[in-house]
Amino acid sequence: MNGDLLQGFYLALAPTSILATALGALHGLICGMMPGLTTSAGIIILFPITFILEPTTAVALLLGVFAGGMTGGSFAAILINIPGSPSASATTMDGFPLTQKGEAGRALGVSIVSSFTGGLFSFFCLILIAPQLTKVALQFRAADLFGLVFFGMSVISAFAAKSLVKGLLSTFLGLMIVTVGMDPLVGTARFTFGDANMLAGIHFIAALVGLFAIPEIVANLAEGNIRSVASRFGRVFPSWADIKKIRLPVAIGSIVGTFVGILPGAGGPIAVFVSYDYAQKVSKEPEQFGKGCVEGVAAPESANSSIAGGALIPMMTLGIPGDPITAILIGALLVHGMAPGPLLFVEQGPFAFSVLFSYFIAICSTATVAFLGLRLIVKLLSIPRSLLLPIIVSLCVLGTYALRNSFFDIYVMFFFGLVALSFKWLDIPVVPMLLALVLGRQLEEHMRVALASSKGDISIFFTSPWCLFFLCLSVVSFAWPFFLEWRVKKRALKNASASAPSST
Amino acid sequence: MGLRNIVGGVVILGLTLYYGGLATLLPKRTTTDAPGPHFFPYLITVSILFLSAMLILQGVRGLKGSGGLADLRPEKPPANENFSIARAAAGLLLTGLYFLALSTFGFFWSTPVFFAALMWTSGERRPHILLTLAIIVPMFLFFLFRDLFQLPLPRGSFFG
Repeated sequence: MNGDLLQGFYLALAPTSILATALGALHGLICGMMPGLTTSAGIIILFPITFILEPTTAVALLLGVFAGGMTGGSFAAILINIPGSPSASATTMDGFPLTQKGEAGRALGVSIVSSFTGGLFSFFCLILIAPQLTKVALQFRAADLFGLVFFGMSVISAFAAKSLVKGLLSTFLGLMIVTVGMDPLVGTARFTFGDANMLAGIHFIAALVGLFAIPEIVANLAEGNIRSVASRFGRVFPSWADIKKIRLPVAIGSIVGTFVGILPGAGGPIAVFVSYDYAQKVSKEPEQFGKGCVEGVAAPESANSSIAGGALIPMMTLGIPGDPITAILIGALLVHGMAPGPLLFVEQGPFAFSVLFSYFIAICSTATVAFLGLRLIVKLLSIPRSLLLPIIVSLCVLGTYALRNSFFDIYVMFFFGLVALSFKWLDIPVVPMLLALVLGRQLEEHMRVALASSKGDISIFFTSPWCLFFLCLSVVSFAWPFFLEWRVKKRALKNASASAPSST
Repeated sequence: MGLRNIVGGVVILGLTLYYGGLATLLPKRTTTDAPGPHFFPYLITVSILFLSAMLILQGVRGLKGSGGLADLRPEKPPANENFSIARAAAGLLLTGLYFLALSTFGFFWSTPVFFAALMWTSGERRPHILLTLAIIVPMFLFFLFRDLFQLPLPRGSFFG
């Protein structure tokens, strides 16, 4: 393991990897910053380029986008009061007031430093936890793996939607699509309608591009060509007084962000608002929050950045993506023949550790590129959407076609774009479907292998301790939204009954 | 949302019944004791049937609070006078046509036309900017991906 760790470190330090990470960070900063473009879109845009790169370089490039995108989201939030990503929403509350006071540079500097610190904390958690978790995961058998994948899906279904029914529907519709093609165990053709293209199944990258890129393009078209003007800002690097002020909020944000990042489906917006709330509670001047204080920028930004490292823990050790971006990263690894999970650390140890160290380099690159190129990057906010949108569509076409040199994948991408738009209309989240597309085949395979090993006896899922543990966690995740709803209703009733006598 | 849930639930229900019907045609047993290729699709069918019925039920319960047929219209984001659903629909249609045209005309010929059309749809009205960018950017992408990255690009059946 130690030899692999060192080799992984050297692989991540290769000049090509560092260059790829820095370029990825620049691209991520730009995509994260542009309202209407997301980090997911940024990764999808770069996808075709990764086909010609070595796996280590390709992953370094994408991790750069991941880390950069997380930081970039705050730039637009601070400068124009539009969060570049949902996770940057909390940053607008104090970031934009600082800009209005003429302290945009100060807010941006604090945001970059906080992101860097949060990312660094999550990297240390990643490097400490990942190898230990891998050792545990290596003991899992088919039934346990089924339980684990089922748990990952149940958490996303329960937390990604306002309604559990809609979350589950999204998951099961994704599983339905996964059954198209060859059966994973005996190779029977299922739902192929005699079409040779369907035999290989629906390529989930094509589906993923459609699910994420097409709705973004449509939403941007609907909103119109908004030209955003970047504001002027002074000194960017935070003063010593500011650094002293943000120590505690950054610590809170880093811990909350990493923890939330580990939980599949918990989502960035939760982490940033929770850390903002905690930072306000522990602050000596809580009344300054919302009026433009640096602590209000530091807490959500450190949380936002540390989510990335947290999400990489289940992705790398268990093969379970924590959010859409890590699901896309799993796709990228699979395209290069690397399946994330405990076996990756055994069979491709140096590569697995290079991914972890590339994340570290991505954090450092993001901070460096952000400080050095901030003034130039911010100017890009004024690029009109009318030019960006056709470029994004063309890059989606190039990336999807390059998967298998097939027009069929382009049509699949468009079909999934329409599916995502219908889901939006119905208020059904697409993330559970995405997770089902990534993990569906594994779920079926593990379930059928477990049943075959027990000669069809389903008690295997309840007698294996790990499987039972994951199934219990799944039940908790299903029950949790109902519990929260019940608690909110109870509180509302209590408040209503308390205020009733005073009003009469 | 009530009417939407009913429409969505009915569509998903119909789709699942069709899927379930196709699943009955799959082989039932394999040589081992493992469940056959039909097993997983059966589980999915039963689950979605139940969930879509729940969605319809939610829709029926929510009908009282919904705004009748107006409920079926997409929601307008708050505080955006620029919002246009027609522009979005036109863009989507253009994107679909572009994907279809790719197999006939290839990336090189169809992309500049698509660029110009989508730029015009999204508000760019200056002809010199529109034409210049619609030619230069697709050409740049074409040569970048074909010659520098050496990736296969969509080739048309009529024009390469």
